[in-house]
Amino acid sequence: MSSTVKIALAGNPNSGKTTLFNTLTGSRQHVGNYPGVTVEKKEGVYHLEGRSIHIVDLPGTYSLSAYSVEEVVARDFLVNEKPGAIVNIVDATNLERNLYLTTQFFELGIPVIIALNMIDAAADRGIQIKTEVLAERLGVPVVPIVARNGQGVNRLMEETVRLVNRTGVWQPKRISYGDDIDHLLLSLEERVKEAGFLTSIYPARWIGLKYLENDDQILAQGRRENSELSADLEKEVAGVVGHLRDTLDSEPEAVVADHRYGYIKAILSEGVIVRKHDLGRLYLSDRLDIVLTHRLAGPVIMGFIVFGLYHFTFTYSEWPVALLENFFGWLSGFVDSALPEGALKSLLTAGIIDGVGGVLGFVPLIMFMFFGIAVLEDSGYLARVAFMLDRVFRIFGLNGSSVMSYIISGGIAGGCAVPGVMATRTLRSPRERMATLLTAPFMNCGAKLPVLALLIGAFFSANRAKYMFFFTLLAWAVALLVAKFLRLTVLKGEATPFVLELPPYRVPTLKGLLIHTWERTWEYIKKAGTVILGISIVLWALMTYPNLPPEKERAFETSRQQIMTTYGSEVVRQVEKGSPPFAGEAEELHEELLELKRERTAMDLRYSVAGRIGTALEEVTRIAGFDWRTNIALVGGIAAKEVIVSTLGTAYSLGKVEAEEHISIAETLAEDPTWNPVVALSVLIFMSYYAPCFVTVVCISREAGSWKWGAFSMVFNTLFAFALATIVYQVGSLLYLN
Amino acid sequence: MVSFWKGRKRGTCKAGVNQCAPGPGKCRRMRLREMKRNQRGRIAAIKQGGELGRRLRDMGLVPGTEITIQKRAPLYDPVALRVMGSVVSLRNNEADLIEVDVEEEEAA
Repeated sequence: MSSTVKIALAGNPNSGKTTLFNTLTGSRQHVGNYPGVTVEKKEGVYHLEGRSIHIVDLPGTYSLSAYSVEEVVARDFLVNEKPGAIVNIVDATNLERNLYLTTQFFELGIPVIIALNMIDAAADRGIQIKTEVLAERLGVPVVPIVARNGQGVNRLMEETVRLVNRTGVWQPKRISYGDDIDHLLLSLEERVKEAGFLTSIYPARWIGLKYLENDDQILAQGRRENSELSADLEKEVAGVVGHLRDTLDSEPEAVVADHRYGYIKAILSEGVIVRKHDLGRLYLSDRLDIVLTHRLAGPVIMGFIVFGLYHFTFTYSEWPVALLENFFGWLSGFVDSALPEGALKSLLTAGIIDGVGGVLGFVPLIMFMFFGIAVLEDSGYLARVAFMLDRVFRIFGLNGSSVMSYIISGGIAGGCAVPGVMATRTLRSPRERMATLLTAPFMNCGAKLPVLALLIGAFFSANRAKYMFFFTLLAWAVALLVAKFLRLTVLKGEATPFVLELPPYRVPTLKGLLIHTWERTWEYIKKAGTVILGISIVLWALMTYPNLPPEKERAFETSRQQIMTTYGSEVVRQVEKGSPPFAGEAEELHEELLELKRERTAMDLRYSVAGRIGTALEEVTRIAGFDWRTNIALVGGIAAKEVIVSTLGTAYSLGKVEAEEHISIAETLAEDPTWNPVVALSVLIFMSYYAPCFVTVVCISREAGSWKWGAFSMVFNTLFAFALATIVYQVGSLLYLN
Repeated sequence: MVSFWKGRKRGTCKAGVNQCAPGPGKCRRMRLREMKRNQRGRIAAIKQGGELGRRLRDMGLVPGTEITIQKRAPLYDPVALRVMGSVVSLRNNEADLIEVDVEEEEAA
């Protein structure tokens, strides 16, 4: 008897699997990824009388075929790691459908114990389940539980340990699939056994079954193992498949499914389920749905709920965000005063503190957003949103679940693409999900707003509200149209079937919500944080080095001395020793020196790598109306869009410009001869749709499972935005100049 | 558009495949898309293989299963059905592939 037991937790989505896992392991969870895919792998430990039970939470699936990533992951885990037992969580209110997956576990031959969940909800619905009868007929232990409050969970674990330690050889269950198929399976099984074909991994009959179901993964594996035998088996299967088509007009997979449901029906036929009410009765959840998905009231309520989520996130995260900003401001100031002028100080303040502060600044936002989404998801409402909006989003090659991600990213101006991209996890169809996460960054996130406010304020102040609204609508149009474009090109393919379960409404558990929120937030801090730190250092270096050559430095020093000599030595001393505000001549001197310092900073910036890139790009960007200063600001904006306004300020020698205090820069731009409303419009269009900020790119790469997609979003978006901006500038100039 | 069909009684549609013979009678075969709200029926056939076919089967949509149309989305598509103990939503073009035996309304 070993003191550690390893078990797998498996079941349908919405069966309460995650709730049970949380109840069992609490905060002793470890979240990782299955190798090579973006499916979460959760592990945890449950302690039972000095024993540690190691629990792996498999992704929720309806079946164990090889179509979706989740199913492949679950199946691979079971056959490769051979857990001591599968704790199969089954929704007591939906026994028949849930047992479909159970039959497939039976055929794998791994010991199964059934956790019959939500027996309280079943009782409320007048459903009574005779667990002893069910256990006897299935031939496996059945333990009724309520995962939400932990009822029966301890017994479940005791039974599980007993099951794992039971001696004797486990036999995969043999479910009958009708004479034709049974006969074929017997023959296949014999040949597989004889050759020892993959039998170290899978049960022989199961291999035969997978050959019959034309399972890509097993077929490929079989061909590698023994191509001759594999071809023989395939030939034998083909004969029977032809026969099935001729006689039953049916595919083998369908016949297999029919028999599985038949097997379940037989087990549940008499005396297992006692129902007090008719099947057609409307439950509370159904009655809620009459209102919440009503043809007219439904969308209106949805609007309010979505707006509420938005309001909740951005209002309540305001003070922790400000708190963090203040902290980093203080830290920056502290380093500024403690260290001598030089590269180290610049690296620490402008590079590391600003960079890390930028990433951590998103944390409260992400926490609140994910808390809100977790509420909508766990309560079952998110599925209804997808249900109601699917028809609209399908036109653009997406599906109903895309809407959440868009809104969070800034569909209502002021969101953030980082949680938006992460929210695409609720989409189960891979192509639709990719299209959503690649287009979500087109929305007007909170960091783009200062730029919009600045340029609209400077050039279109009479129609401020109209222009803001226009840019919000434009973002939606652009995101949807680009999604359509991607779905017709790089993400080409049929719409993924949208067979969506609408789970009954449930009150989410606080524990579940908190664990959910924390997991995602922590993941963000860990993954994005490390990468962003590196990237912000690189960007800092780009905007700092190379330094001005000595002769230019000297020129500035000379100008400085010249200015000072025009004032009396008393005034100079006043300025050098004291701090602002000054009076009279001292103030004049202070202003002049400050002016010189700003010129110097602008010169530094222009001389740096980023500045040179900006200047070099001017050749190209001229056709869209951007000069080198705008280019530098936009290059900086790749780090974070918040940087655009302040960099623009530096490039125009305005010193440090705070995003909120852009009055002076607005005036400067309005009076600058190289700027006009057409240029402003062109810059705004480009800024809205070009490369997402680095945090978003990191998240896109992570969610898409490859850096390739992160790179794609940078290149594609920039080219797309530039083309759009060029058209606006060229056409606009023609109309504007005439 | 709303049907007030009660549908609580046992009709002539029996479990199994190909029960509903063509011609006049109480039982009529129709496509799932044509069904109205609250209408109840029994799946007769699903003409679909591949991934969609498999997903439908995973959700319990196999011949012989009883379904009830629960509601339609605001734009009439997708459609939500009650299947076994759960509610499942399907797009209309997916619902087209499912044939259902439905009891006719008595003296409509």
